[in-house]
Amino acid sequence: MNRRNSLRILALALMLALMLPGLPAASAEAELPPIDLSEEVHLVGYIPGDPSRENDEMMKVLNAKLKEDINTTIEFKFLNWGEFFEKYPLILASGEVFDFAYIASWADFHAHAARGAFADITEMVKAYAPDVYRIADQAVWSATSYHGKVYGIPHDGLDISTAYGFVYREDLRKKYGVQELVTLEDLGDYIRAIKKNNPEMATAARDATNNNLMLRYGLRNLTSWAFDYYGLVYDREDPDARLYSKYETPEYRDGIQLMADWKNEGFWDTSVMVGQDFVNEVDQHPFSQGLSAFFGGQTGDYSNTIDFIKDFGLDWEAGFHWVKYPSGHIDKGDVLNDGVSISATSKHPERTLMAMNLILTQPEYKWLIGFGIPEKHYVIGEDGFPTLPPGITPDNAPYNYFMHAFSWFLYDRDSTFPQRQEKDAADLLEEEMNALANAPTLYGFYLDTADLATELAALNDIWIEYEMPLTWGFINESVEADIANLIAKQKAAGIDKVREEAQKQIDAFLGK
Amino acid sequence: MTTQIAPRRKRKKMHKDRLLLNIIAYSFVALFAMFCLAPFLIMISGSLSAQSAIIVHGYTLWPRDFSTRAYDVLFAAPDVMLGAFSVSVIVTASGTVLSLLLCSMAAYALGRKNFGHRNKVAFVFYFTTLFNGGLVPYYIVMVNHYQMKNNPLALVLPGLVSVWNLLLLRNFMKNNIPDSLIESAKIDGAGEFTVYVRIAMPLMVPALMAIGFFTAITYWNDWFTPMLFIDQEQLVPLQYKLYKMLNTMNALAQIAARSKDFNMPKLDLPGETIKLAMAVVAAAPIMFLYSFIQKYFVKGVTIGAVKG
Amino acid sequence: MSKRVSLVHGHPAARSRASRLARTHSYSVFYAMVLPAFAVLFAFSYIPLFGIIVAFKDYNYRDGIWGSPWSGMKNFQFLFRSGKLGLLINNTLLYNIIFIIMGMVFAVLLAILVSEVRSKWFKKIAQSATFLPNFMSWVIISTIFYNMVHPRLGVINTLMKALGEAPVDVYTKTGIWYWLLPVLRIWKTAGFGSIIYFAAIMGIDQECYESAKLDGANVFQEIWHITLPMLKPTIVIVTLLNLGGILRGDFDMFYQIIGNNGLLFKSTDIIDTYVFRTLMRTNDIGMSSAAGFFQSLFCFVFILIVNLLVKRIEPDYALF
Repeated sequence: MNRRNSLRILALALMLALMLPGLPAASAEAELPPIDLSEEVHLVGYIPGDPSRENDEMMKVLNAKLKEDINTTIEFKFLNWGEFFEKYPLILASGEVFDFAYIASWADFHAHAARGAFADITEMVKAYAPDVYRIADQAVWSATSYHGKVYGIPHDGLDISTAYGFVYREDLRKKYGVQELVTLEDLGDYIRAIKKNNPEMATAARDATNNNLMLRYGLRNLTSWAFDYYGLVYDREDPDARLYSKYETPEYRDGIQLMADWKNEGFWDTSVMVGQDFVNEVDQHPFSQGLSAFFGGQTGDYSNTIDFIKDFGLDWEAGFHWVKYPSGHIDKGDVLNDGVSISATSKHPERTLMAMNLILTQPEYKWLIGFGIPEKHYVIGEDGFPTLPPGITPDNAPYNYFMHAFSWFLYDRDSTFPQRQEKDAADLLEEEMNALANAPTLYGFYLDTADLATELAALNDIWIEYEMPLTWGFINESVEADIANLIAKQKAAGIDKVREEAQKQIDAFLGK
Repeated sequence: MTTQIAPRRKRKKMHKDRLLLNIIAYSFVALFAMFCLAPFLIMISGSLSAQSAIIVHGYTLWPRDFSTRAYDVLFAAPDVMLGAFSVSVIVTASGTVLSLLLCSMAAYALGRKNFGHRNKVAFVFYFTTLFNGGLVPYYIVMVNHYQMKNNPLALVLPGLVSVWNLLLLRNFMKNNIPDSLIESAKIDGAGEFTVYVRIAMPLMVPALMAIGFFTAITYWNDWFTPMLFIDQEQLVPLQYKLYKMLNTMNALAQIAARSKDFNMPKLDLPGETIKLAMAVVAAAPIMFLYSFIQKYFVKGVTIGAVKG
Repeated sequence: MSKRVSLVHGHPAARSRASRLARTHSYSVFYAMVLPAFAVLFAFSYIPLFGIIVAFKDYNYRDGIWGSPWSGMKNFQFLFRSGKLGLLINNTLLYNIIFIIMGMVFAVLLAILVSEVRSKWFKKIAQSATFLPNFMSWVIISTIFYNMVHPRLGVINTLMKALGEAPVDVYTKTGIWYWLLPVLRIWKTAGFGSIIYFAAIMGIDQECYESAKLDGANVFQEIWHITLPMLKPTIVIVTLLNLGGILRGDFDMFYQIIGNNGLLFKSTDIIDTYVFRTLMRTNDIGMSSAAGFFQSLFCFVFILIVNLLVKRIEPDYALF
């Protein structure tokens, strides 16, 4: 359905998974209550992505171990990225019998949990997946809970934080004497300079969505908005998290005015609304071809760009423009970017939990899932890193690192896998961001939308039809009138009901 | 037979009216064909270009920076592609033949005026084009009740009856086969089934070819049905295979670009040109098939020939 | 048949009942011929049809389709309360009517003209070329189309500039899409659509033309008095079949070409894109089946009326 988006999400998931923080190493001692292991059990589960070519070989080794440890074998069914968003909900909704499934907040975990797709493991997880339960930060369990019951195993970390930002041409910024990019206005000056001196370059970044992320993130410099659900925000330091509409604030008005000015200056044309020419791979991105002044992304994109410049010996320099909240912080990443749930139709939830416990926490399993069979699929290089055996290139690698969805959220990542020593600008930036990240009041809160379906349908339509053009400065009447129109449309669509319901849930979440 | 004599006679005395019509026909058809051909050529040219050229210069009628990289990647494992190709051929061939059989037989019955209930039955058929139960119930029935997961029959059976095609065939049946012909055959003692096989089928050849072609294309292009029900590699048809390959390659490129703690050099996978090459690869066999069917469209039928 | 009926004597009522029985019996061969096709439809279309009730349920996976609680008309609210339904129905109908009429005219024209072409190789190549666009997915078409109409770099606007004309930005002009979309659609489908008419022309008895020639008809008269009347049943049935989907839009085309460009919705938003857009976040099965059911019902009533009218005028052309 929407490959680009899904890949984007994949990328995000990968990024976040990569930045898992170090946690103390697990001492793998589980106190298992007696469970009858005499019956051999075969488990089946769904994960996104595609298998590596020799995934089956790896699975043979893994299953031999699993059979020995808990008399169980396991089968991962891969859902190709192109079909994931189509098939995953279908499989869950149809009541098909299987044992486990990959979960994530971006894959609608909460909606599926609300509709009864997953088994309640609140008690079972402590008994049958004790290592998982112990290692995972206690706070993350709220992310996989619904109405107070745990329906899934999250990944173990809390902190996974990078700010979204824009990769730009640092060399050109210096050349044209533009000040360092801190605010949205600075970015404007940079674009202006590019437009004057390099008129052939594209001066709009619209990767990932056709929402204007320059505005969305640029405004963070001035406001402390968090949540941002169809314009409903709260100040991220507000302990009560009182919701209000950002559309009614002067900051939003000024931001739209700025965008309208930029648009009139010719920073972009209507093609920003079409969402075409965007190529995924960094080395094939218009930016890397020198055709675009900047593009949106995360530190990973920045890092790739740095590599690209180095690989091709370009005399460029890349910079990364990002903004902090007025408090000097950035948001912590999503708690539930990866995880696994036990299917409500599973006949062996206990055994599945035991298998998950082994695979996610035991080093031998983790290395198998992550890198494949030792010596055959990887060797340890001189730098202590796993690397491909001689003669094998990524093009023909029989086992590709990170192809297996479970490798994205293996527990205790840092203590298990070697750390990269050489740090580039992007790595340093990541560290800086990580140090700045803190949790807003509603960290780990997910809105239960079960009773709001009609309103949300209308609000999503309004968001696309009215807010998106507005954020790109396409003004119908005047900035004020258009914003007033947006607010009126939202009111008619029932934004007040959404706010009340959300506030009610927030109050409950905050224990009031 | 008549068509072979006709041109000679006409060339001798090409009337003004025929000349005019020919000028109109040639210029209109040529112009329209060109409009249709050009984008396809752009697509082929794009599939034969280096991806960077497409990004920098856009699409062109002639490949810039000629490269067969997209096709090399697609056919990196020829045996896998051949396997998927044979699945597609088997599914398409069996589906098309069976479908034509079922549909033409039903169409014959529904087109016969002697069948008093024909309109009621036609309605029962037509109704299914208006209402459907939705994807989830369909999936539940197919997977949980018919055990169609990884069943090759799932690729053939659900598409066997296209009500559209059936009603089109009924229409041909009604209009191109004179009742007198059928009645005289029946007076000679032929049953309905014999009439259908001996008289209706031969006279409906152009229609059967056209409908068969539609059906074949539908089967050939279908990636949605295998996506729903097939996850065993040996049963994956070509279109779905190509579709999966593209997604896998894009994901791989992403992964390779981002997995920094594994010393991986970059992958060079031209996603955009592969997309174009895929369309070319998928269209080629159908065009090949059409060149066979086309001969049935060049010459008309003569009912007298069947009568005699 | 008549022989068998004539064997029954006696009271008129008894005779008519007996004749009905006899008739039904004589239909059995027809029923037998229809049965295999019906069996397939029954298994793969009629049985899953029970799923329609999802539109009236608050579906949850645990209780399944039968067990989930009823929700009345709640799933339909997002359509009726949107205030947009009028516009959506309007656009969907308008585009479909344009597509049906223009598509038919072009396909028939193409079929007739191709059949008039004498040169065999020209005929073969031209005809094959006309349905090449059918093999291009809307994703690819949208990329190429975008490259052509791009406001700054597109081929068309580069040409316009070279000719001293102001460039046209199609992505802000709402009105122009009433032309552009039909052109794209006809370009993609006309060649393919003409095959069925082409087959119909090939099915015309050649003797008709021969006798017309003897009567001294010119070639335009032949087309007008023989070809077109012979094509009429096909034209009618194709149009009727198309009318049965009058409230179903070509989602792929609209979504790939227009995308989420809110600037154009006034003239390009159809029910299918609206439903996709509003439900893409919530992914609600009940609501999407409600939308589907609404479309089906509309089409159903519409085609019943059309079919009734056709039956009045020309019973032979009716769908059912």
